[in-house]
Amino acid sequence: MRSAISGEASAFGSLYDFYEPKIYRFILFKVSHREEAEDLTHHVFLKAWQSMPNFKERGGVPFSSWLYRIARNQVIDHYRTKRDHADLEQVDREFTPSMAVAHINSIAVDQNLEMEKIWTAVQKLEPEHQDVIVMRFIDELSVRETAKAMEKSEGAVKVLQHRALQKLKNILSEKV
Amino acid sequence: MELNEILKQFKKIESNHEYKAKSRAVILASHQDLKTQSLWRPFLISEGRFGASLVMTSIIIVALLGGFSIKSTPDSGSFPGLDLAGIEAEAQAIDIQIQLTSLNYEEYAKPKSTKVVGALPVKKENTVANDDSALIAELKKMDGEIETEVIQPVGAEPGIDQALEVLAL
Repeated sequence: MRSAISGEASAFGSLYDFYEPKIYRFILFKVSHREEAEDLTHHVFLKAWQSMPNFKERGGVPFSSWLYRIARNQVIDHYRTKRDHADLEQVDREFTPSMAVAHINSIAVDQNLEMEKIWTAVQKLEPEHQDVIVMRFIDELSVRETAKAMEKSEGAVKVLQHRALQKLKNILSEKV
Repeated sequence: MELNEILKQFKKIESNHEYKAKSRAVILASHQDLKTQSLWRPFLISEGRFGASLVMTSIIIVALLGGFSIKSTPDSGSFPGLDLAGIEAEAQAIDIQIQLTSLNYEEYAKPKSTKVVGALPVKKENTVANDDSALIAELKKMDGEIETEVIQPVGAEPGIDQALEVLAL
């Protein structure tokens, strides 16, 4: 981490390799568009790389939480810009959950269907509930890391997590 | 299957490998620009405390230099063209001129007031007594008081008008 902060490219390369899939997944859940998710992920890491000298684990914020914060802000900015160009972009928004899971070769068909259902259900959650589900259950961040990333207390994250799971289950049961 | 287990399956989602390699290369290629920036960054942006201390130091230096320059009196050795004695004499001369001006004013003010009072019409004593003669007498009396007050600081020297009056009598 220190090497990356001091500007060592290979050190940051290792961090990129480890965190890129997590950040990509997180963004993909938010935007439901592969190319957009890739583009935003690229910007997140570029921003992180350029801001590395400023990163000092201030207030005990772990690197992972810091990255997620950048990602969240990047998605918010993306939607803000998108709102202004909504008509032009509407055509590219035909994303289906199967597109996200299509390249997972090792998953059986029935499992794939289950995943599509859950994907669709997660999309219906509020943004904060989406965040907590992805961070805690998909990317497996600790409660502390999630709390720091969401700028909330650990207790608030636990409550949020409980509600998010409850809502997700409700949505899934409604569909069935 | 449990919800938690299905959610964990999403961990297998990955970005396009081609994109990943390209993105990584582009980000790490921006290394040189970052290094150029980081040379100045600590002095300008990143350390707020350092910036504040730098500002304080410069203020203290300016204050010290300013203090020395105010305290130190310039001598003719450091400014060859400067004539301190001449400047002092000039300053004193200005004060004297002011005093002389006020003196002249006081000298000229007295005879004028006398002339004004003298210009008032005076009626003969054998005529019927009226208020005018009493008023003129009062004014003359006041004028005499002013004269003594004004003449006092000037000294014993009589004015030209007074001398003429004496001659006319």
